[in-house]
Amino acid sequence: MNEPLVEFRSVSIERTGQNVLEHVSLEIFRNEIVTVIGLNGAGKTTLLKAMLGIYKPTRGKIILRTKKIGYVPQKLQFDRTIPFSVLELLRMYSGKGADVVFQKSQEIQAEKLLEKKVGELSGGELQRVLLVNALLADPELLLLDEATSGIDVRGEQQFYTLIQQLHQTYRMAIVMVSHDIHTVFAQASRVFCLNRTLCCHGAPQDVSQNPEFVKLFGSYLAPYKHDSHD
Amino acid sequence: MIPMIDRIFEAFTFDFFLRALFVGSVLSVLCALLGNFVVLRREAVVSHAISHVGLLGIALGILLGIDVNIALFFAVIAGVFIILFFLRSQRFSQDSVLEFIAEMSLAGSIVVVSQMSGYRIDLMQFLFGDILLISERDVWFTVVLGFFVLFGLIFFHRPLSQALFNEELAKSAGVRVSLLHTFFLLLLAVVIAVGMKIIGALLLAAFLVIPPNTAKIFARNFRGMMIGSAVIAFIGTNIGLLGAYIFDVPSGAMVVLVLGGMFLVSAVATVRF
Repeated sequence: MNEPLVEFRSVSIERTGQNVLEHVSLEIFRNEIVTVIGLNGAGKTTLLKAMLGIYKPTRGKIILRTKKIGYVPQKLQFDRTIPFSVLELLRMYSGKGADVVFQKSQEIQAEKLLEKKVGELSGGELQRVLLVNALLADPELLLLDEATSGIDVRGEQQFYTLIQQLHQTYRMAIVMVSHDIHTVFAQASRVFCLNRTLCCHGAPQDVSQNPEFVKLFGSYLAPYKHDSHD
Repeated sequence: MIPMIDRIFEAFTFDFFLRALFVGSVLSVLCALLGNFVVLRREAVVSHAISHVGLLGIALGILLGIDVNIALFFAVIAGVFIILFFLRSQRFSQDSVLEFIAEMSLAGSIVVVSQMSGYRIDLMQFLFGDILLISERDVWFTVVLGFFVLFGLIFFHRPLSQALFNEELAKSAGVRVSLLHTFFLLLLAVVIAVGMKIIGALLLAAFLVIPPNTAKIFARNFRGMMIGSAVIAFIGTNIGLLGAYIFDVPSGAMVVLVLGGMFLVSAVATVRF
């Protein structure tokens, strides 16, 4: 098999005196879509930020075999009254010229947003812009942290379709953090189930039958019962 | 009307006023440029805290017989590292830390000055600004400072913007956010140290915040906001300093009133109902 693009060797991370990740060992390979699922506080975002080098492991080792990493954060906290144009923002973080930014924006139909102010974008538009920003890094590894939170169901489907298209075009490794189990299982080639430690991992159909996974997500997987309308 | 015009022409015959105009103009542009990043990061209270630490430095300088400029310079630098120490410990909220440092420094200054006789007027000048305080040495210091800060802003404009707009995106792009934030606060501290003489410790935050916010009303992008803020600050400061001379009022207060007036007129004129 290929050499992994990312390797976590028994990684533990402490934040403000508490263990956020404990002895996590995993491998991510080129050209695969991996989804990380877990309940709130399970360490999903910490895992991505450790891949980005924002959080350093307290114990263990992280081996990254690429420096080309694109990142789409869950939320972008900024002052919406500042008149940053989308073009300015993308040029600022990528360091690339206006022509390259325009070309990359065209690929995901975001070129009409370039002259808009970042503070005036809707949730879906902002995610598109952040995706362009991530792609401008020419990533071999794309990290999406609950990238569809704050987008309606239709927008969410369009976003995942776009991710699939990008994956086919660029053949990069994609790591998605998500809370929407049904969408996740339809998109991913492998699933990591996290609860501070790595509970289980593997192909979606295998993970869905794993007792650890059922214990964590059982109630979410049960069919939804409507109230009686008669 | 004619006596007022005479007063304006008269002002330009005095060396102290020309020095004040020069230092005020350079300082206004530097403050406005840095102010854009202060507004971007919502850190107006930081400048408030640094200027108050500077005030304590001046009071201690007078008490200990140290050159006031040197005491002020070291105090603001020390202030930056004290602020960063508390902020990075992540034990207290940012606004609590900054208010604590600002008010403790002001209280310390008052206690120190209360123990001295004859120096209260000196401290008043640093609280509200006085154009008579600008010496020839200050003019040269402002020239050097102007080059230093402009070089810093031009050379580090991109990483500074990255780090101050959104830390998470900056970190993911490999930007050393903590180092740049420290560098930015040191630039701010040095500008505040010089600005305290002409604008005063209590009013400096307004000097940093008002021009960028006025420019924001008209700007189509951040670059436009930066250029606009520098132009607005330059015009407002020169009108304010002239007003301070004509009406014989503290320079800092007059400049801030003019800048505030420009902001209010712009904000009201562009309200959409």
